[in-house]
Amino acid sequence: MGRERSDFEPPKRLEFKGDARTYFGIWLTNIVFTLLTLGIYSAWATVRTRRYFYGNTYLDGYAFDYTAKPTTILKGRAIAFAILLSVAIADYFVSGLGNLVWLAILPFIPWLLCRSLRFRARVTMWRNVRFHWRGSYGGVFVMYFLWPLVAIVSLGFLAPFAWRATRRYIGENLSFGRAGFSTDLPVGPFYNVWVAAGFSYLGLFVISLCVFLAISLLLTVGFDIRHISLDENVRIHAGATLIIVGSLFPLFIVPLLIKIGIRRPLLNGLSLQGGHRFSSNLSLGSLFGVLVINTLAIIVTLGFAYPWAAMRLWRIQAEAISVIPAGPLDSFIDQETMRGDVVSSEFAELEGFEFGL
Amino acid sequence: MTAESLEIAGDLFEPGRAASRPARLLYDRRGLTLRPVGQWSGHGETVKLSEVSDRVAGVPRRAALADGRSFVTPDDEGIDRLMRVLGRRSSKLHIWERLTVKRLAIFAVLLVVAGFALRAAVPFAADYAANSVPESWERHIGETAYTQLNRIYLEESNLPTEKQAEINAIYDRLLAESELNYRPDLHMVAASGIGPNALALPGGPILVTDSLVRLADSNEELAGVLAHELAHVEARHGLRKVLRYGGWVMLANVVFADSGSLIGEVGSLAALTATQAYSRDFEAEADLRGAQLMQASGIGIEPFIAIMTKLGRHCGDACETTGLWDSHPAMPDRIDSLRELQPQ
Repeated sequence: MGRERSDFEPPKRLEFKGDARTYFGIWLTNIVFTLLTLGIYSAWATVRTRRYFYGNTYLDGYAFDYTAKPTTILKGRAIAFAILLSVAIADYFVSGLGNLVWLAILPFIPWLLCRSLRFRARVTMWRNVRFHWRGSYGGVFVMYFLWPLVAIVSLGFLAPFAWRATRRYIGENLSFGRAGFSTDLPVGPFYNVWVAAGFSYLGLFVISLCVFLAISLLLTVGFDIRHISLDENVRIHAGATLIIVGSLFPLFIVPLLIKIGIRRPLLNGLSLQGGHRFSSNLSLGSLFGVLVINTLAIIVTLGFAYPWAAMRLWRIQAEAISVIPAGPLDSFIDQETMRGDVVSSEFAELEGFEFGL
Repeated sequence: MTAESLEIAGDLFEPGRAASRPARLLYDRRGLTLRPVGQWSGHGETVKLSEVSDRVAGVPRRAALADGRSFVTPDDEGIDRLMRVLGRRSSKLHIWERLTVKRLAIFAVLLVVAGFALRAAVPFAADYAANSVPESWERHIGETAYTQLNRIYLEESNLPTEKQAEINAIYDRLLAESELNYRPDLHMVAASGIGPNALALPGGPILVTDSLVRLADSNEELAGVLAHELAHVEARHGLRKVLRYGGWVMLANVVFADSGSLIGEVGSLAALTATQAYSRDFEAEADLRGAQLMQASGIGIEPFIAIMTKLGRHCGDACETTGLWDSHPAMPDRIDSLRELQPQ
């Protein structure tokens, strides 16, 4: 497949053209309309948000597209909602029954996840060609149930192997049109993410505790000097709140650091049939910085900085990615698999399970 | 009427192919035609428009043609005009999404109105749901909760049997005045963690701690607290509170579904705030009904006020004021409300 002209194709970097002000309008409208429609609009909100992000992300002059229909997503959400509600009700009225219901649902979960991944891939499009995913029940079971078990049993020490296994499974089963992706993933870079995650957790925890100590010192010593003694209860209350916030703070950052961080080794080991390769130069340090600033900005603005934060996070991820073409990028052809899927799509396409590449 | 004529430039994709060529979509008297750019200038081929993607600020529009090809263009205005002249409906959501002071003001008003509407609607819906829960289920929930509490927190009461019998006797006097058609269990327990306290679980078990019994100078004072808890059970406050909280949490989850976990936490906090407001309403209601039960059973409100005063003193400054996240109204306010009920 590789022709001599491949040497002349320069790497093409992804470009993001969105801006926080525009997205703020979309986000606010989504929240207001979702509230006014008691949640029904949330399906439209998801589609419009995704279309804004995908549609402003360009590769080689062409934007990505998210082509899901809100009504399909609404159907999936209604089913997911019904399941969760039935479990909650069962558990509320007969303690323990909820667990039984979960147990009954459990065998269906890999199937639902599988459907969801397939859906997410199929509605993503670039240059008129769709992505496809063809993982199986058994494979999803292994990657979402067995590998996490391995990670837990090894006290986290084998977690990078689990991350690699799941990303490899997702990658190997993904294709762009008729061209399949393949992966070659050494485990080393996954351990880099693991080490970075560990240090960031410790670092953030220590910093949060220091801030807590400084504030509680201020509350006790600082105020008593001026003879404004705070009530004991108030002090204990404030102290407890700070400890909780302090230990929670890393939890908003570290899981995201891992989730996004391991996309770099994945991309660097990913190739597309025809010899096209990918690369990501997203450094864990700058990702960490963006996540910390985002979290602080969201807290300080009581949530209103969310659109700005989400945009920043998407931008550093997207703009770190390059495609190294081995030939022209306009020769891709889509699969003709639309017919078979339409029937099962009736109830199978569950959006709202957040995972994937 | 002469039809409007318009021209839209974009890229044409064959079905399922990544390759594209620049093309123009034309609309004039002859209808909708497609012409490749720079190839030839004769008649374009007539095409039929199938689905067209909705407008989202700056995102290229995808117009599917009936024959399976796609026409992609950044020309939002052009596509919107085309949809208009073809008499086809297109989404107007993008207009709302464009920020202006006027629209921000409308949103602010809508949010305030929605907030008030939901403040009425959520309790209404939750109470409706609570009403459809059979009494036996509610009692079962309470029993289960009591069993769990018992295992973790509670110890056997140290009160002498005679004292326990006296308390049960005065409890029965209050119960006779209530509208309940069953006798919720009354448990005396030792629980070091919660101090002088009493609580009513859904549908039933009422718990009284030994330290509350010691704080009360008489059985009549203790009756005040029992009457308050009995009122909670009678009005099914426990179940109603849980269902109201569930309603708000559900709503918050949906509204902030796409906004990340941190915003999700903010939503849960809002749900909690709303629930604590209901909790305070229920407490005030239980005080009022408790006072009625005290009067009806001939004990009177005075011992109720006495025990509340002691509880307030024991609790200290924390009970002096009402905060946004307090489950109970401030003690001085509760005592004032009770005093107002007292016959002069």
